[in-house]
Amino acid sequence: MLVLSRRPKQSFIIGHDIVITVLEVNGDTVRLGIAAPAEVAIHREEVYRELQQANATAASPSSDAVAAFRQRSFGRSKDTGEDPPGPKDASQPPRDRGDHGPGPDPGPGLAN
Amino acid sequence: MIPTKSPSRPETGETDKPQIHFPSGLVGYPGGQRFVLDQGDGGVFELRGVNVDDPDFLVVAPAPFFPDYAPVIDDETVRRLDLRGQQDALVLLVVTLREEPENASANTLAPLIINARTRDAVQVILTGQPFSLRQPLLVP
Repeated sequence: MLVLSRRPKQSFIIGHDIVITVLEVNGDTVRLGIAAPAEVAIHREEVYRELQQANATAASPSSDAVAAFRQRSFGRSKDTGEDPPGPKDASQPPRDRGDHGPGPDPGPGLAN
Repeated sequence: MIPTKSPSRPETGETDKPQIHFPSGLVGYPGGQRFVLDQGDGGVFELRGVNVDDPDFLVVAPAPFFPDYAPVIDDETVRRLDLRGQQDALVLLVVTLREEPENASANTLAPLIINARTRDAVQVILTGQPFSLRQPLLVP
């Protein structure tokens, strides 16, 4: 690992267009500013690792598990006497509970 | 920043399925960039990797499960995906299945944001919003 020392307001440049600036040092906390191209995703490492783990756990479920989930998912609204928390029937539009103005077009259609 | 609401379901019905493109892949799967979204009932879909080595994911539209789910998409993501309005943004949640279907959970912290117009997509991490990597799906 490359180790460099910097003072507040000083920066590193990684590659041609990623600039990391030390903004403030306060006790054991360092605040950094990062300027990078939009296509470069920036995450706190521990958050990234957790998400990586979550995606790995979710990836490529068995068809049996998917079938069981679908069945259970459908069964839910029939089992309970209460209103399901949302439209289970794909022919019905989702309820708009937001305060964000008119609902979106029901589907530009990802698979049209 | 633009607010989102739980999306409506994506429509399908055609046999030739257009691909959804994740230019940066999903976290942990940088190579898995092209997927097709298979129609499901009740807001449940399968996101299938186009290449053999790519993972598949079970995903759900938030609306049937979390009617109040309304993540705010940050400006950087809006720019990256060229989202021009709320109607462009389709939100899907990655599902983790477990042995018991009742224990299935959805990742509300890191949804997939898809530009329904361009079909470009990213998985964003909603820092600072009260969501979970493992939100139970079938248990209230």
